[in-house]
This record gives sequence, C-alpha cells and structure tokens, in this order.
Amino acid sequence: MSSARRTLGLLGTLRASLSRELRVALRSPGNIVNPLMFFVIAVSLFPLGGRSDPAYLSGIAPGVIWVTALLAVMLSMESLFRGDYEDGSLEQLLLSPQPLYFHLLTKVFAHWLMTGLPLVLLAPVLAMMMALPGEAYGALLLGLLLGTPTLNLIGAIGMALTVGLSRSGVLLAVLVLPLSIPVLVFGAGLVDTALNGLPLMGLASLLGALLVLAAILSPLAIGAALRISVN
Amino acid sequence: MPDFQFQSLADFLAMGGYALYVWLGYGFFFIVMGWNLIQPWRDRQKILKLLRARQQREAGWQDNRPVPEEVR
Amino acid sequence: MMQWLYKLGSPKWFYDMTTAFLPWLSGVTFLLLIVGLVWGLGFAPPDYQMGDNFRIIYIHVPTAVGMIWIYAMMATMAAMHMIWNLKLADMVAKSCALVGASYCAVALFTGAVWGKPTWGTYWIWDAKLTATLIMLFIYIGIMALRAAFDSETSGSKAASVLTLVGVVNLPIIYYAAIWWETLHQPPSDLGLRAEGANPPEIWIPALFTGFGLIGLVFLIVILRTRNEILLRERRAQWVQELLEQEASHA
Repeated sequence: MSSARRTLGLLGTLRASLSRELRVALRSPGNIVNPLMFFVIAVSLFPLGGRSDPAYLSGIAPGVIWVTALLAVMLSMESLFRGDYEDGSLEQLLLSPQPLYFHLLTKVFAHWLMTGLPLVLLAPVLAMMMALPGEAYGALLLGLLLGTPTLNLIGAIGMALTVGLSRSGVLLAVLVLPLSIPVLVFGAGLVDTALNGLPLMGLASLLGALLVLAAILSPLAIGAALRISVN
Repeated sequence: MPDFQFQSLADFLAMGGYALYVWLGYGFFFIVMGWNLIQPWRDRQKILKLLRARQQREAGWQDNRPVPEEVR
Repeated sequence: MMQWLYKLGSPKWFYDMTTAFLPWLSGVTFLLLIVGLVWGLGFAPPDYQMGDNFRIIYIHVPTAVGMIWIYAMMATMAAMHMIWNLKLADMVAKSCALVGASYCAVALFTGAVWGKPTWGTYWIWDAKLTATLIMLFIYIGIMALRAAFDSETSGSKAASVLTLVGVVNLPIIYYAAIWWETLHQPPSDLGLRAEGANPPEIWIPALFTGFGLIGLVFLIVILRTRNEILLRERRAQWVQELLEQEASHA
C-alpha cells in the first residue's frame, strides 16, 4: 500500500513553491548580480556621456533612474522561465494539480525578490550619483517599490510569450516596453511631484492600483502564454 | 452646396499658405491607404499563381505518393 | 446557436459571402471617400483661425477614432479565437493588425502636421498623443510576435493573448487626459476636437470621410482575410475548384 503522503493546502503549496524558487535562484548568483550591475553601469553612463554638473543631472535623474530600472527588469526576465523551460520543469509546472495561477504568482514574486527588490535597495546610491535632491528619495523608493513588481509581472507575460522562440532577442522588449510605459510615467512623475513639493497620494495610489491590477490579471495571461510556448 | 473656395488651381495647391502641411498629411494618408489596398490585391494574384502551380504539379503525379507538406 | 456560430466560423461561407458584396462595398466606400475628401479639400469654408490647414481633420479625426475601433474589433476576434477556437476569427484578427497600425500612423502623422502651424510644434508628450503612440507600438508588437513563430497555430494563439493583454491600453487612452491633469498643469486647450458651433458645410464632409474610412477598414480587412483563407484552406476541395475556375478565366 502507498505510504500516507502529506497533502499541501494552498498556503503550504505557496510556501513550498516560494522556497523552491528562492533556492534555485540563489544557485545562480549571476542572475541576481547582473541586472544590478547593468542598473549601476547604465545610470553611470549618463553623467559620463553627457554633462556631469549637478543641476543637469538632477533634472534628468528621475527619468534616467526609472528607464534604466525598467530596462534592468527586462534584462532580468530571461532567468524567470528560461531555465525551467530548458530542463522540462516548466511542463511539469503546467501539469501540476495545484492551480497554475498561484504557482505563477509566487514564481514572479520570488523573481522580484531576487532581481527587482535589489534594484529598489540600490536606488538611493544611484540617486546620490545623479544628484537627486534629498526630498525626492522617499518618492523614488516608494515608486520603485510599487512599480518594479508590476514591471516584473508585465515582463513575465512577455517572457512567457517568447520563451519558446529560438531567436526572440529584442522581441521581448518590443512587446513589454509599451505596456510598461504607464508605470514609468507614474513612477517618474511621483519623483517629480515630490520635487515640486506636492502631495504624493494621488500618483502613489495609481501605482498601487496598477500593481494590484497586474497581480490579479497577469497570471492568467502568463499561464495562457506558457501553454502556447510549451507546446 | 457651397461654392469652390479657391480662385485657381494654384490657389488650391497653395492651401492658403499651409500647402506643406495639408499636402504632407493628405499625401501620407494616400500612400498608406493605397499600400493597404494594393498589397492585398497583389498578394491575391501571387497566391492564386502559387496555388495553381501547386495544383498542377500535384495533378501530374500519377501514383498516390504522399504529398510533401510544404512550409508556407 | 452553436449551429449558427459554426456556420459563421466557416471560411468558405465568409469567402462566398464577401465575393458577393465586395463590389458593392468598394463602390460605396470610394464614393463616400471621394465626396468627403473633395468637399473637405475644396468646398468647405476655411476656418477663421486655422485657415486652410484645418482641412486635415477630415482625415485626422476618423483615423484616430478608427484605430481604437479596429483594435476593439481585433481583440473581439482574438477572444473568439481563444474561447471557441474559431480559425476564421484569427484570420480576421490577423488582417486587422496592419490596417490598425496604418490608421494609427496616419492619425499621428496628420496630427503632427496639423499641430505645427496651429500650436507651433509637431509633437508634445501629452496624454492623448503618448497613449496613441503606445497603441502603435502595441500593434507592431502583435505583428512582430505572430511573425516570430514558425508554427502558425502557436503564432496565432500567442498573438491573440498579446492582443487581449493590450486591451488595457484602451481605457488608458480614455482616462489619460484625466490622469495627466493630476500630473502636470492642464495644458491650455490642447483638445483636438476644438469645434464650436460649426456650420454644416464644415462637418458634413467629416461625416462622409468618417463613414468612408469605416468602409475602407472593412474593405481592407475583407480583402486580406480572403487571401488568408485561400492560403490556410488551400487543401480544401472548394479552394481547389476555385483555382480551376480562376485558371479558366485567366
């Protein structure tokens, strides 16, 4: 007779899924470090390639930091499904009895913890490099904290659509960047609002609303896209 | 029906000084829409020719060899 | 109901039906467009502020509205494809993509050439323009994604998913003007529908071009869908017979 097996409830599944994702991610530190390095280097290119006087830098700082963060998230997307696609565990995931929706949500959340959150934590350093005035730091952090998970979710949709393609290259960016523009506009706008001394609540709630919307809807799209790619 | 707004052909082309903008705009419109109409028409001719050639090729095969599936 | 849906999903039915009314549709569309454009270009009295430059709106407004409406149609087809696996719906959706992108591009271009003399600049990063630009990017992305797949069915499904995801951009276009107001100072009357009490000689040609451009959408989509049907259904008996007919006419 089969031995009694421990059944996982939904919470147990999520916890197991999350710990698995984190453990796998930590095995390839490159996936974590590389997007960070890109973030730092790309932001540094602006003062190096343009003018480096603080007045000029602080003017372009919100946009530069946000756009670079967006690009860094995009570059980090490769590590989300690629490994699992190549060794077959993605197929297994699609076949698992638990609802795919929650598996995908924890997958992207774990991915954000490893790649998006470090960007947020590093942002103050970059803000300092870009001569961003002190009163805007809070808005920058809040915006990135709310915005990077959304960018991760949108990027995951694009990644799911293109993971099965051999030469997807820049296609991922073409698909995902237009959809990310609202987050970019509100996030950079939040920093501008702080610089102008205006209340942050409006834009911050919009960013939060986008996050909630993305969290609820994107796993559906990601699941549908994965089923197409895996076939 | 109101009357024609321009005194002469030259006036019409000049568009009250806005010639560049008006004709650029309309020109772009005509080119893009023209392309959108011409392309399907040309594609249709190409497709009919291609499929017809295929059909004749396959009719020429005497025995029932399996037809190789061509990638479009 | 399923019978009716099944019949609607038949490419052959679509092809035969469109063969019948295509000449009529072309005739009506071109008539509407010619009347509207000639009237708008030559006979409508010039605007007292914008002079003859305003004649661009006869193209600009219908294409701007059209590109949103084409996307809605494309998304509906994508949904029908995903839910009921209707091949015909996907063929129509595929045919909509390039037309939609074209209308979007024309709207942006005509808007730019209208804006330069009127407000002094070809482009400005306000809500409507930016949202329209995003729409163009999404159209192109859908076409690029479909083309990237070797397998036709996978490409169709992927394009359908992306089309449905892009639907979120429609409310953004709608509400963008409101959201922008909370960001920047409201711009002074950048509304592109700056119409007061205009005499009918001005807005009637707009009706003609408006309906004409809608007809043009149908015309182009139908033409492209018919080609798509011929290609995808090339193995079917009725296509084989059609080819023989065409050959004997040629």
